Amino acid sequence: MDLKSLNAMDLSNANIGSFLQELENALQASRYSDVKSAIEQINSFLISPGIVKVGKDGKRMMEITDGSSTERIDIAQLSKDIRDRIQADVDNHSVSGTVLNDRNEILTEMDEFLTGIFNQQKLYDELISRGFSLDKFEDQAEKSNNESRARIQELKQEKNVKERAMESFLGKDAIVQPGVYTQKSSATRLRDCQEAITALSYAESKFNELKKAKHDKSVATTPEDIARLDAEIYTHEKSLVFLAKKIKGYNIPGIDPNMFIDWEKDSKISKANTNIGKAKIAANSELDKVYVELKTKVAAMNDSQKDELQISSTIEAELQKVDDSDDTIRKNARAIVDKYIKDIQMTVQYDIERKISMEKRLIQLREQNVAKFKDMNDKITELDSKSKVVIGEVREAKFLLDENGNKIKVMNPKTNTPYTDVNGNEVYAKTTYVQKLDRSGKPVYVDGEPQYEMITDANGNSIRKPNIKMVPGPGGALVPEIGPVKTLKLQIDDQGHAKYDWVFNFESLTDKTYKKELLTKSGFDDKKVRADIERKYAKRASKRKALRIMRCRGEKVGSKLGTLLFPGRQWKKYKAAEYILNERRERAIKQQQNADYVDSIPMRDSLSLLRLIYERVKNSAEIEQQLFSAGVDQGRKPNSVDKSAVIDALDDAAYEEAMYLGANEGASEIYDIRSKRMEVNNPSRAKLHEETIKSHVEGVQSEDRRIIHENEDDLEL
Amino acid sequence: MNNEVEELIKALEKVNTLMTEENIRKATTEQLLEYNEQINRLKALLLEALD
Repeated sequence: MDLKSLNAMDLSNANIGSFLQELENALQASRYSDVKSAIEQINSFLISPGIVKVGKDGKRMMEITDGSSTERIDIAQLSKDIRDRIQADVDNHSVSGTVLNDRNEILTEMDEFLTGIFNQQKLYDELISRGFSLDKFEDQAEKSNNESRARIQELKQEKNVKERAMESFLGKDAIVQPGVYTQKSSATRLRDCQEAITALSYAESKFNELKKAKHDKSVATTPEDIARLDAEIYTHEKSLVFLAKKIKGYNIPGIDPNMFIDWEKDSKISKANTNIGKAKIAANSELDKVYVELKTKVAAMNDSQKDELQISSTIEAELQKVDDSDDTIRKNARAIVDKYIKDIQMTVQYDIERKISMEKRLIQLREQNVAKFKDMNDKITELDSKSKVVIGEVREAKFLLDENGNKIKVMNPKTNTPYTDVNGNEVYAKTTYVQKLDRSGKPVYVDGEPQYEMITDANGNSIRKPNIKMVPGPGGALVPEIGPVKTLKLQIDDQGHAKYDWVFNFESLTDKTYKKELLTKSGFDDKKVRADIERKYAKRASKRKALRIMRCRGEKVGSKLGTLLFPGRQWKKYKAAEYILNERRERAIKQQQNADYVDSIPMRDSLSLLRLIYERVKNSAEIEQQLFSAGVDQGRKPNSVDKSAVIDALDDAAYEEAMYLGANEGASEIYDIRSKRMEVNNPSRAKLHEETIKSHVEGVQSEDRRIIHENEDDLEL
Repeated sequence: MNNEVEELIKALEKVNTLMTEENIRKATTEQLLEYNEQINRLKALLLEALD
């Protein structure tokens, strides 16, 4: 659909998605120059729109008043100046900081403007209010980014293939310095010949003018005429010198470079036309030669080579006519071939490059989106934690009525039949009250008093609250989405009063998301834990350790080729540690080890560790409630878990696992940590442990060495 | 300003009229994420022309 039809669409029932897609298609199909003009127009609005004035000539000018004086800047000229400066810097192989800043500023402003036009922030607001977490947003952005990265690699390969194909067809330019070639591609040779022929014709006319001016001067009578003619002669001579330099620079075979030396001077003017005639013949013959070469090359190509170079049957047919005896046919054929060469060069040099830069820009935009989302999310969380919520009055519960004024039965969501009380009577819905919760699920207190809100639907279920995602439950009624840590469970008493209570999910202790949830709730997120693990064991040795473990298991780890073809499989250091942690936890459950507790921190059992964190979190929530009821400020976050202790224990678990699998480096380090802890409680067990470690380590040392040396350079985490 | 350019600016303004709070609220979460990505693509195309 073109833009005009798109704009004429009736948007009353518009499908946003399809409109956006049509707009993108229309943009892609528009002429680049039109898109550029439009965006520059919009850009001109951005530059202090309040002080943009339209001058008498229709140009948009920006007025800058600096106390006493007012400066007017032509905006279009300003944009052009900035672009020229950028281009100049690029040509000189340097980009100055100021120019980059200007360019980045323009792009940033435009990005902000477009974000506003497209109301992207409203999207994020809605997502956040639905409980869409930052992690999920980041994950989907990263997934799309990985797809873009894969696409970039594909496009680069496509460009390489096309470049090679083009070089084999058209040849390659070898430039020593601007304008000086040691080797020319067919495209350059064609262009040079064509320009040389034009320049020679132009030189011919210049010579005629020069001769006329000289003749006129010889018969001139007045000083004014002589002066004027002198000036004309001077101008023509200068032009001819310039043309000589230019044509000579083309180095067309068959054109004698000596003909250009002093060719504007009296001694050589008479031979000028003859020499130009010979030069033109040479240039034309070179031109013919290049076309015939191209024709021969294409004739020798197979179908797949022609496909690669997008040589259609039309182009092929025209190539047959490039040396036709008929002038018109030959000229038309050559024009079509010239256009084809330009198009294929554009495709290879610009189109693919533009697609690559678009994917790169998409990656940038997605990262900016994540930053914006995080910003908004943080602000909302901060606001909620400090909120002093104004609550409506708490009223007596009363029967709910439907639109006809009838009482509404309370349905059991599991069986979809009406609830009955102890006497067997059906119960009817009453308005009910639940404790008000903020976005992160924490109870809201005002001046130490718990706050309640009246929220109910026909069945006495809580209706949708912004921080709890409601999903269809059994029987079709909306129920809160079950979270990994705790769930709101509907409880209905005999009188039909519906009430939600938080219930902790003990069963989900082994769930990976539960672990993540716990770590998030305890005051720090697992990314920080991972970052701490990473930081603490940031040396190459630890990286090798993790890699070795995975290779021992036959896991494919980060070969360069693997990363290129399957970017999603890029391993990061924290993933290795996390993988180890999970395996350790599963083994602990299977082996049912007794945890060794030292200072209330479990030594080997990650499961016990998680239980411990959970207990602390739960206890801290209860403590929080008690504190609130005593009137303490709600802004205090639950942070009673000793972060460094958790990290140490997680480290321990991870590297203990690594040690058991035979990592010889750092084994003594691990041994030291563990033995110090164990000696405090159980010296004999510590000794036994020490011996076990040593023998195990020695047993696999040689194998480790082999793996280290084999894989030293191939570490791609 | 030529016609094509005018049409383009009009189309961009039309997106603004579509992305109302009500329309956004009605959309599913998957749709919202899809719109976000489509908007990113439009921005990328337009910023490319400015660069």
